[in-house]
Amino acid sequence: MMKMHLSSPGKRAFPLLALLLLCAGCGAPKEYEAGFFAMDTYMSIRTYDRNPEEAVTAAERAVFELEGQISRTRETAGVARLNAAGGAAVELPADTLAILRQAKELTVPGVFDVTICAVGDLWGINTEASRIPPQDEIDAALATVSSENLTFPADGQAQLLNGARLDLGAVGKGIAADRCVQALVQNGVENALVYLGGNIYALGGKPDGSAWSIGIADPDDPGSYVATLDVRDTSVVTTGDYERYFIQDGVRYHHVINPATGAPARSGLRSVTVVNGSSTLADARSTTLFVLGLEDGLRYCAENGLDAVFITESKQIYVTEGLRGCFTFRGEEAGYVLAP
Amino acid sequence: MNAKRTALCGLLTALALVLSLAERMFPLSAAIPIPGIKLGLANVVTLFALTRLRRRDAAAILLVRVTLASVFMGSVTSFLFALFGGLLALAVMALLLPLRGRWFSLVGISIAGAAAHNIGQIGAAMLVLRSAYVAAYLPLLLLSALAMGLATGVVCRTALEHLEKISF
Amino acid sequence: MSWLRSLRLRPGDLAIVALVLLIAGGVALCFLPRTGGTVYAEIYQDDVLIKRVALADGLRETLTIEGAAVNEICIDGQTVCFSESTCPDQVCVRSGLLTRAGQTAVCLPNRVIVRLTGGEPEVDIIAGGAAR
Repeated sequence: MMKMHLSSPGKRAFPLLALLLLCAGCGAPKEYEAGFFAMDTYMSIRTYDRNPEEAVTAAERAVFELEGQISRTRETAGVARLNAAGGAAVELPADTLAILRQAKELTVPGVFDVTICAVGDLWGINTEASRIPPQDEIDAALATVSSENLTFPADGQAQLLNGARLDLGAVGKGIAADRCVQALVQNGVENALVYLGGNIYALGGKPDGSAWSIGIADPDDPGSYVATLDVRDTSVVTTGDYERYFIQDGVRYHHVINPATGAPARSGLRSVTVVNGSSTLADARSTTLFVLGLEDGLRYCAENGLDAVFITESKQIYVTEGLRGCFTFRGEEAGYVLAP
Repeated sequence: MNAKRTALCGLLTALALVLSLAERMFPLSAAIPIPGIKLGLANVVTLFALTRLRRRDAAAILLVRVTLASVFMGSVTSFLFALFGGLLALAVMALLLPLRGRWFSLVGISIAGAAAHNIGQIGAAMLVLRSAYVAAYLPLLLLSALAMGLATGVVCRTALEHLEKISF
Repeated sequence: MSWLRSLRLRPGDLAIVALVLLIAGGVALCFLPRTGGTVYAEIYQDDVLIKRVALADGLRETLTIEGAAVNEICIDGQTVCFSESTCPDQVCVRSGLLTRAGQTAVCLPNRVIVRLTGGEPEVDIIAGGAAR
């Protein structure tokens, strides 16, 4: 009555065992992380998607290609050639021109300006030549600062007037992050955490489906954090006075120069973190808001629909309305207070 | 033969429904706070059906039972849990049954089916809750599957042996 | 052990039992609470973290979460519980007190998960900080 089937035992058991083992193994998806140095900083791309090698390589290539255009120190780079042209018009590739136009459009007069280069060089923050420059030198350098000095006299050309020089340092890593993500997506990666020297892009989510959890650094101890943001498909960029600076006579001179004064911005803020789908915009606006200070910064956010987290010198943390859902305050132990 | 098969299908569906009902009396939710998670008593019917009927009959019994059970007393979520669990158990047992005898006994196959049932339920719960954390209950459910699988396997074998005696 | 012999197990059966135990152990390891440090209560709704509190003696807080049902969650010292709920099944309330990291209580109708996690909260990366 009861028939025994004894045929081909192994053939049938194997897929089943494989399936069960797959179920057991799915708790730990494979992590792929590639780290590389570019644009004077450490960059890394982390993903749990399968077969990401090609996409990550394409993303790295995009960063190096960008660096080849906007570097100030590489003689062949468009920005370096423009700075060295002594005010003459320079033929540039279309892509470089597009970047320059974008950078110019991000200008906020007296607050954010990519022609700040000459003033920044005077201070020499993070170089061996860092010093407090005399006021007459600052005034002379400030006279060159205006995005109006960056012009496009003819098709395929850019020109710097009145001795202005360019430094795309305040947007470069943002542009790089956006291009990284573009390259990743084009090559089939849907989830990744892109880290470009502090600029972060959270693409998609984590393997368990949850959002990426991004800590906001404690300005007094950047290895730990005072809050977290649970985000997906957005960039998180922090500008802080603790990133690059020197201290003289008890005063901290950092790398964020206020174009209005020609000196490091002293707005009462320790750091500003901007959350935006465009890393280029987030990068530029974190600097903008840092220079503006808390009150003007919050107003700027409200007027422009921007989301940001402000940390003040008095250890107060302010969060814009749009981030309430994904922001978690974790700074009580370090002595921070979340403003209502 | 065809009439006998149809009758058996109906009988087994009714039995599976009764077992689904009886299952609700177990206070499983005290240990595992996810409403709708079941022990899987009705798996015994699936196993029995697989040994005595065609696979598609066993699948039909399962689908009718799961649908009717949720119409009578369940919710959409418990329907999903039962469907995922039931189908995975059915698939695993159907794959293993041809190897019965030399490699596996009915009890072993039953345990594999019970474990698959619980993995399926947790999988459905993970989808419904959109959270991986509910998998934390899987180990407990798998341990219970060992006991449940053993019980249903023994019951099924005993039933089959008796039926053999009366040449059903 | 005569009852065991009466089961007439086959070699494959042992493999099945071993595999089930292996999966159970593997999953349990993944969710094993880390010891030491502060325990945090995390409350999720629709898989969105809506609150995270470091548990401490003397801490007392009650919060109400509305959705398809209304949950009242009570944080008392080192413990958390669903103190009241308008949901039909009341499974969340019957889950009782959560006291150890790794414990979870769920209100399915309201899509609320309360979870205790141990030790330092983890982030994937720090903005404005050093690389991981």
